[in-house]
Amino acid sequence: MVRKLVLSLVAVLGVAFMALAQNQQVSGTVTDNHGNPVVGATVMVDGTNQGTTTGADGKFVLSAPANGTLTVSFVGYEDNTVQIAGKSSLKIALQEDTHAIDDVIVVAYGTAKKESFTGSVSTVSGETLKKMQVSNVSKALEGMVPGMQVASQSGQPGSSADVSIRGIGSINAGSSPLYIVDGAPYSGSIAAINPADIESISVSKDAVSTALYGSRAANGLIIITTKQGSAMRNQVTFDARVGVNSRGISNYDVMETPEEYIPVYFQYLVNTEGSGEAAANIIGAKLGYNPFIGNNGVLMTADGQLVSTERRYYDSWEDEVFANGMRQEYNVSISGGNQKMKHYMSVGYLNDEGILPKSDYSRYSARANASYKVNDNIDLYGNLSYSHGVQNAQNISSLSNFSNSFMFVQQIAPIYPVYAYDQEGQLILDKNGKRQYDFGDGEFGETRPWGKAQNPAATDAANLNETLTDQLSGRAGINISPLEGLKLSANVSYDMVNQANATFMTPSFGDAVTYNGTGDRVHQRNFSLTSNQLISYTKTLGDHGFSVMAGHESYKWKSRYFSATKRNFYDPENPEFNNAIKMTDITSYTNEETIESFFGNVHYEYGNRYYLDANVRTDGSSRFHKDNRWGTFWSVGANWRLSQEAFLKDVEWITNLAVKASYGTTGNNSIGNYYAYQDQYSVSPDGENFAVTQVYWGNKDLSWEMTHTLNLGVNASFFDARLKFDAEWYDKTTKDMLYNMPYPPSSGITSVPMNIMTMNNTGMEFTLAGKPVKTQDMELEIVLTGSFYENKVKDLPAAKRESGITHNAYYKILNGGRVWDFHYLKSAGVDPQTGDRLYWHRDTDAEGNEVLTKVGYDDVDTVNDRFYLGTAKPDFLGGITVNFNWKNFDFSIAGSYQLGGKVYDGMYAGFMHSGSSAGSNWHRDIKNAWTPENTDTNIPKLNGNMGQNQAIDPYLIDGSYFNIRNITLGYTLPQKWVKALKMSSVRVYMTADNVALFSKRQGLDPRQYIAGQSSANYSVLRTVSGGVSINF
Amino acid sequence: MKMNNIKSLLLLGATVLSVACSSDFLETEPTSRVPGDRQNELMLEDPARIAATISGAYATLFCGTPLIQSTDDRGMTSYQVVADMLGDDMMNIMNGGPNYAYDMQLIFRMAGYRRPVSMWRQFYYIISTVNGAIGVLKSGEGTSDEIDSMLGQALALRAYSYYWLINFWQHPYSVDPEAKGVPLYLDDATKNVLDRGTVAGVYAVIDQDLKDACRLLKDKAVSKTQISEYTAAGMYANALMFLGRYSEAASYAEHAVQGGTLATTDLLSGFNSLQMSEVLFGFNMTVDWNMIYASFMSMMNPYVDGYAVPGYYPITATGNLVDHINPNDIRKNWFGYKDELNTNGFSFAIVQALGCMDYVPNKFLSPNDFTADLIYFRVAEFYFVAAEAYYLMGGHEADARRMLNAVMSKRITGYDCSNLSGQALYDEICFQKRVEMWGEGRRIFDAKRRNENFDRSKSAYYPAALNSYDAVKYSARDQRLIYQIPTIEMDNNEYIKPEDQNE
Repeated sequence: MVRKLVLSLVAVLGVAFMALAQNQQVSGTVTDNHGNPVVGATVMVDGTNQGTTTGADGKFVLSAPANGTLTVSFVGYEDNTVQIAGKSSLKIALQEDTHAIDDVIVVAYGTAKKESFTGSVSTVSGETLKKMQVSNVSKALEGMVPGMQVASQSGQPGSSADVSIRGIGSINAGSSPLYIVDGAPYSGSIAAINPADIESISVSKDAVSTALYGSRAANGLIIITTKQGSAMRNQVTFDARVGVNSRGISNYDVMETPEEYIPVYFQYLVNTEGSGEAAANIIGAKLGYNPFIGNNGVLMTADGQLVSTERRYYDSWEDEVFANGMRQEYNVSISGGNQKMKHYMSVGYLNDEGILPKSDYSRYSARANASYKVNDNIDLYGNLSYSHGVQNAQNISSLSNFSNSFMFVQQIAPIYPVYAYDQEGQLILDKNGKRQYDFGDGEFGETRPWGKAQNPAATDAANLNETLTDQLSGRAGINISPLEGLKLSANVSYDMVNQANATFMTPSFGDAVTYNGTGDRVHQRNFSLTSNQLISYTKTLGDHGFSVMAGHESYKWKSRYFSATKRNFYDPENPEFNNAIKMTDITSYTNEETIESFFGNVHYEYGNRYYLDANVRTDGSSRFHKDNRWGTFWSVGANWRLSQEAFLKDVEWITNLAVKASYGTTGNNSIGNYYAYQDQYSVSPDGENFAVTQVYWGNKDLSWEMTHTLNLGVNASFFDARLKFDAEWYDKTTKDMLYNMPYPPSSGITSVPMNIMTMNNTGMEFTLAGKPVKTQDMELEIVLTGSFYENKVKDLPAAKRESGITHNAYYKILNGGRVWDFHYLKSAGVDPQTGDRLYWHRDTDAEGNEVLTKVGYDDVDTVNDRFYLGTAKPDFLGGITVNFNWKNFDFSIAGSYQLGGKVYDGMYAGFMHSGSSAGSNWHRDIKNAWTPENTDTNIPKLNGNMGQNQAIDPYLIDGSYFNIRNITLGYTLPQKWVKALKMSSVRVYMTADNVALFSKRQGLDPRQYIAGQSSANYSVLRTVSGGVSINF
Repeated sequence: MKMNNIKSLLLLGATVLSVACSSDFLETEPTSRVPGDRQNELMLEDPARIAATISGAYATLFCGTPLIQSTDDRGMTSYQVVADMLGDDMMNIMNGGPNYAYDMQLIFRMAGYRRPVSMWRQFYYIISTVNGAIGVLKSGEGTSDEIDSMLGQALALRAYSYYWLINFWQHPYSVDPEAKGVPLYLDDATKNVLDRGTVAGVYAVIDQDLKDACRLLKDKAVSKTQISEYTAAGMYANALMFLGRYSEAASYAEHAVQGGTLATTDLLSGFNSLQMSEVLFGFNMTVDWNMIYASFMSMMNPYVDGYAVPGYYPITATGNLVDHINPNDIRKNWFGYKDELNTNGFSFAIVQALGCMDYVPNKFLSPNDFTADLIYFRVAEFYFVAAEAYYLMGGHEADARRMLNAVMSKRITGYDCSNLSGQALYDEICFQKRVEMWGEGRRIFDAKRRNENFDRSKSAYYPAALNSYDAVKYSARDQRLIYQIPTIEMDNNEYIKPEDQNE
């Protein structure tokens, strides 16, 4: 074999040498059918591997045999072959290739032509991604891919979105898709990938397109391919973009002044204390602060009049806490190559400031991708990327967390000041003459009954939660073709994430005053190594094409974790441990996961019309016991290109028409514990002794969750591809779902992971793209995507078949119901006599028939009185994009939308409390609460009774929305100006993200909640930027 | 050529297979936790390791399960506050925050609320933990002091857990021994009763476990963080009082008081140290375990910057209790605002506005960082238990006076109860125990057992909102003093039917 290699090498070199001997200099210009120069077209001397690419003016020079031919090719144009015929100067025009198979898509372990692919894949181009101003690429996909739901839970710069493909993947096992970067599963942070480096993103949805990643592919694949250099085309690009981040979603319609808040709180006190007199006596003490001057501490008169005099302060928490941030992004890339080698190198810098102090993300990234052709038989490639991310984060996680500024500014009653004031309304200044923050902790004489010792305007800036992430990702491989059609490949990929997190809570004020400051350090090092070895053989015999592939892959992920906590800091401004003296906690552990896989693929095609694929893969997972570790997944797919059949081939208006079908299985092992088959005990200290308790109940029988997917699709394009229509229907059934089966608490067991239940997702998705206008100067393109699905769970365990399985409190899975169906206590309005909330209660009448009666909370049966109240599953999801080009201007607008699907608006529910928490704000709707004078209402009496708010239907709201995701306007400078600047192209643009959201309630952003429960998350950011993009 | 091709393919196929990983590639072990098989090995290697499991149960007793939901459901001392809030000796004068106010309103008992869920979970988690140990230890009973001691502690923990469960989910034994009880999980799973069983069935286990525990712990030295023979005797005495077996109760209570010496000046040291001479059993606070704002001291000490500070969620005693304390009683110092304790200079304006300055609690004090041991059992309690038991036996009033005098003479200089007899003696025992055990969660058990009536209107101030809950005057037989079975239990335990639910 070695001899053969050497011989073929010699032969290639010999031919090249001979070719060189007879050459002459040839120059030329390549233009398109409008006469414009084509930049970057490849010009090859036929029969050699000599060639060049055209420069900025479409010109090329090369040496070629005088009697030779040149072939000019460029993406989207038909190849043009011209005779040199002794001429030294050539003019070559290219025709647009309307029949071109314009999409080469990246699929598992290779690429495929879109028209011939048997599976379901959607592609988002790097060009589209470039417009979105996201620091985390997962957020750019909103509304772009039919069948994909993107929930951006947090708008904090750097944060990821939750992505789910084709309905609800699983219940307890992970439901996020597997990310593949440059051919290998990616274990790094998505935020570390610079979107500017991305050539394309392919989203694989059905079994045949994902089966080769059988394990972990049940929720689909997101295949990210980074840019590669192109042979003979050297290019330097520079992009710069600077803009402003502002809050995208406003506050709820909550009360904003003491004049608004105090009378309502007074009403609560009248209701509970029994009289206006008692209420007036106590209201000042209950609220803790007097926002007025000159009322002698009397806020309300006994007959309910506000003693509103001059205000003592006008501080706005919102204004003091939030501020617009700046967003800057710069990218430089160099790409190019020659016949032997291609390269792409880039460096990027991003600084994305949030709208809260210390919630910014910055990233330095660098990438070098190269491939090298050793000879006709061997080529090598290597991609290396490094990124350094600095994430400052605020603790924006839950409604009950007082350090969550998004909750705090809305939930604090509008009667408390941000700064300290004396009784006359004068600022109390510190010894340096600066104003001081008021923490409501009695330091200035008054104590807040809500959020004591909290002041986010002070603590957001003083506290620290910084995570430094260094990530190194490498991909390398070798392809050897010892024989025609035979290819051996070996690839390795390595993702290493080193994370150092530091948190610090200041000893000066806030929560940590008690222990004189507290600080944590977390160091985490994750690495993953994937290596695979592939062998493939391709053969074409006449109209028949075959290929077979077999491979082996191993995946190992290891995470080392170390953390420590110290308290009692000497210098209040130094967060380092050497400045602190009390060690409180230290932790370390290592987690590991491994998967080993064997797989194979057979592909057959006939006459450019019929395509068949078959895949099989078997995986062993360390998460399962060795007896149940292996799962085998398979798939078959077929594609029929009708438009290539004789009876349609000559129909001019059909550009392409193909139908396809696939069926197969994929697996999911990501139950939320790496060692799910083992019982686990935690070790903690009991003084000097050990205290050991069981904290996890494993299951040796646990094995793969398996998803069976049937996919039927059609790809069509008409009128020279000016109208495209892709539609797919799927039926996805997940069997033996990984589910943490809840146990009765009396058993002492929380839950045990099991393979139970079957879930079905059936749905449809489509993309419709049209170019109604296409002239030399003007082009208009409209792309509409849409999808819908139905979700159903079956085969509940026998003991639960009647009752269903309650999860996350408000949801219940019934046999035949959906995962995210709301089943809970249902309001029957408000008793007009008492003002108490009434609930529907299932009762039986004298004949034994079920009847519904209205009862107070004390008579509710919390088990049997749960009613179906709707589902969080949306009816319809999608996006719309309009691209418009006129001369040198380009304009695009992208929107996303959802129809239906309910959200439990927990934020709103919190703002509608019945008064028990003094100093906690209300939504303005509360003004309609029951009083003896206002009895015809749905809002119960304010009496602090929890029983008033135990139904959830008053807080369920339609999650429909329309979001203007992005608007971009660009202008490409005319060539003559650019030439003068010695550049090849310059484009300037303005772009705006999250321009407007239309939802059913002010303040509610349904996109943040995939399972339909709102909480006070970091608002999505509205970003408006200007930028310039220059090619040299 | 064709042959060659096939040969090459086979060769390459073999190459692919040869890259397969070694057989242990897929074997991984947790390191943040001990895997089950390893835990069994470790226990077999050294039975003393079972002690770690029992310590685990103690830790749960202290801080609740990992599934706690708020700052007010963190273990034993949270429930001691709850128990007192259900009566008329303690009140939460502001709503919000840690919602002991809901306990006071008698509404925090419904199946969907966190209070029943957390308490249920905690005691059953302890039961599940010790059951594992009891199974192993029983086979080695009598082979070593160490094993007997561990077994005794485990049995006492199980019994004590059932004691709380049965008294919070059903009216006392004396009302109806055949009433529905709570599920019984035992070390031998074949004897489990997963439906509600009966009150008598639960007491049978409590009775047997505590009797065994007292026997097994006899003369075993344990620390104050563990259950000793005296604590077990005290627990047993309490259970026997519910069963009406007063003579046995008196004798076990007499044994319990042998476990420590009544405190004197220590009584004013803040109840924050196991060093206090009369402590039988408690939790030794270390920096790892300090729950800071969620700690007991944060709830009870109004002078440190926690939940109890005035203007936030202060808890006070009531006039009906404090106003009747003898001015010479050292315990009078447990109540009433004290300037010298207010070193942080907090404003008590709201407490003043509500007229509660005399009821501000000083019993539980801690440093500003809330570091304090927690006390579950003290000998003083069992002087009162013994006194009450002797009284209720009939014909043993002298013994009752002897025990009452023994403890009260350490509280009131020159105390003398020799002139008390009959109902007056009984009332004195009951009242002095109320004062003594304030904040330690005993009142509600006693009130239920004795079928007392509560009357919060006897105090000059009580939150007016209680009127709207009909929670001012109520009897200890009020259905609202027993909890509903948590919804999550109803949802997942097929043996408990909807009709088994408490009203």
